[in-house]
Amino acid sequence: MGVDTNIRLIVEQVLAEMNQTAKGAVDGSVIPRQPVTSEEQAEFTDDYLDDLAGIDLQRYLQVPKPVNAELYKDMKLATPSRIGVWRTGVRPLTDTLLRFRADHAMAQDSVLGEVPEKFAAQYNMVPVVTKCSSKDEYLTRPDLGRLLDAENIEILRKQCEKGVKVQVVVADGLSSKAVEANIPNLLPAMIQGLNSMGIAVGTTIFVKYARVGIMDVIGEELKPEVVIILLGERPGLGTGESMSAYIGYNARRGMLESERTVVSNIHKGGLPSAEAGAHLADLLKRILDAKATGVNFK
Amino acid sequence: MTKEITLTSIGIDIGTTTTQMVLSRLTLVNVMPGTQVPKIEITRKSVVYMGTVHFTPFLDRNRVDGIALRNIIAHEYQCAGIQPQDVDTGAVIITGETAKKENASEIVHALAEFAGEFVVATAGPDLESVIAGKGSGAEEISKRQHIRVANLDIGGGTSNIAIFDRGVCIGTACINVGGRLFEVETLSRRLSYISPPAQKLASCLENQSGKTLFPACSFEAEQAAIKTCLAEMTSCVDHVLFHQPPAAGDAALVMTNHLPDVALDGIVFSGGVARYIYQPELENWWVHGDVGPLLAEAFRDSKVFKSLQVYRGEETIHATVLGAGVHTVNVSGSTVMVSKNVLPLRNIPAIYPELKSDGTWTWVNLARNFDNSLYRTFALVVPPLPDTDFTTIVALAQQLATELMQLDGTPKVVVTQQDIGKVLGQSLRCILPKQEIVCLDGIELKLGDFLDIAKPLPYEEAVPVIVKTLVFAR
Repeated sequence: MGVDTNIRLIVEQVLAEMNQTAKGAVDGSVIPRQPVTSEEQAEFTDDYLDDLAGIDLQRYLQVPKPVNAELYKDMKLATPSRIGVWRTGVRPLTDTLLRFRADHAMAQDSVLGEVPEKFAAQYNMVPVVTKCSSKDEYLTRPDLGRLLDAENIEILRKQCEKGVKVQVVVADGLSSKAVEANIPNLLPAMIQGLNSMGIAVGTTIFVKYARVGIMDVIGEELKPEVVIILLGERPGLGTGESMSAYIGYNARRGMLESERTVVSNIHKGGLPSAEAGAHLADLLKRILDAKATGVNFK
Repeated sequence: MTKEITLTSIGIDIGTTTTQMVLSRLTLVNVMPGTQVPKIEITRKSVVYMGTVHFTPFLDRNRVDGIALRNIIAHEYQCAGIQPQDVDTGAVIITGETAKKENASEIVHALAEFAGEFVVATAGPDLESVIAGKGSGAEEISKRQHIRVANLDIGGGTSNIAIFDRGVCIGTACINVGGRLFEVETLSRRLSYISPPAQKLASCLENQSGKTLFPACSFEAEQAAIKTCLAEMTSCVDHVLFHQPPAAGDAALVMTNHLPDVALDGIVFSGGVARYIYQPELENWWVHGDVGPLLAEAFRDSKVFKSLQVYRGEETIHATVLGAGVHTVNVSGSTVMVSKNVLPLRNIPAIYPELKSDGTWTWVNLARNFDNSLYRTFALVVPPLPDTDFTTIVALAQQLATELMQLDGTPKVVVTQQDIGKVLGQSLRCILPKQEIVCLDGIELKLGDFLDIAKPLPYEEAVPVIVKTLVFAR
């Protein structure tokens, strides 16, 4: 037997073994799916599919046979990041990819969605709108989101008290969902806290298509001691319901960004909304005592 | 303007054999910048004074010498250079056989001027097990390496076991196995005292074998008898740790056993005897006047030592006192509500509610158990709520207000685990504007726990809380 034949035999053997292992790897890593017969296929409807967005990612264990399941669970619970998602070959599983796209879609929905018309009335808010005429204009023209036209300023003059201690403003900002999810708990908790400390709160204003800077215009017009604006944060892939509160003492046109105080990350997984309301009430009290916000407030 | 607070914490461990004091400083800092919602953490724990190990003074076999004990602690305070009024918190742990009723009250009385209202005497084998496991570093090893380890704290009269599963204590046990159950004359090396549990074990072994162990006819026979008993003791620990059927003699030794039936990844030894397990030294085994080094030798032959991965903690003999002084402090959530000038509060019993037939909770009945002059007020524990909506919290506040007004104590203390302390506190203040209220969150309590609440941090609202678990399992 020549050397060539020997090598050929070895190569053949190695190739055969590689095929075997490759098969094994695929069998081990892919979650087996039920084969679908033609009969079943006929009955397929949309509601057969699980809602991937409904899965709690931090409790969703995708690694099929973890060496240390308890530790794996602990690690998943320690972070909302997408860790331990397993793979198929070098790519993520279909589940993972679809969920990622679903979360991205949800974030887009939060930005593009509108707060329902009746929302303002439900919480006795005075509704106004900035100079933006549509969501697209709002997204492309941040400058217009900081301005009110004469008509809307007139609404404020007529319907809102001047010179109150605290003027509350609610705005859709970059997430309409954040407003709907947090305001029902945050607002009453904050107002209860302020009232119990004897702090007068003006009529709450709801501004559509608003940026943080809208507080300058409102401050200039109504001359409250403090303006607090509650608005939806730009959504991420973790949550679309996060809300921020920006607070300006003596808010006026031309005030610096560094003069604003912010409390962010108000949502179920961060600072819960009712507790945030209570925290903000206390913070406003301290701001009124210190007569300053932003870097001037320590 | 400092955003730091330092707490001076004292730990005193009064055991069957030894008494020790440790003084530590805990630094608490707001780790969040600016006006972000604060988050307070204990950033540094440093031991500033480690007292010498004293023999616990006894009048006779059973009664602690209160005056001598007082002098020891007075001397330690002097060496540490502190005054009783400088101490913010801490715990006196009375352990092992010393923890009998008449002794406990004698000790509290003797230490009143040092402990006073600041430090509260606590006792109980379950708590000691947990504290020793924290002090030895077993808890930390378990947490860091994500494993399940047992801490075996072998003292003079008892061995305390605590199992930590990834940093959480999941069970404790206390066994009458210790280095001082047999005492020897340091000159003749002959047996001078056999403690009651050792006696019980010996007579049980005598009944089984039909041979008399004690008194022994010769030095060699006595040694053999002692070693037989010690081997029996370590196998009792094996039975408890590995959930094997108990031997006849075990009944004389096992005091409490609340260990879950789980497999262990490793073991840490602490307590006075542990030193001899890690560094065997048998040449002068009699130097302490007891059989500690011989017990250590027996442990080196046991299943616990041989079949489990043995980890070495940071502390052996100082584990309990360190645990008492350093590891008992927690920090509450940072959005809480505290009326002005009502803190510190000490030794408040935690009252867990009963569920009434209409689905609401009531605290009053259980609080009545503590309704005597010993306690200034109560801490009503709020179980987890299904949601933290504003309306749910207001309804809870109304319920709590009615219950609180039926109880005499002041200030009114409410503790929750969910992050709702401030909104619940403000709601309570609306309903009860004239009452002093302390409403904390981020604290997990069990029935039977007691609380110390220290003063809030400067410019922050989070408060240091010391949870004293007197009963671990039931």
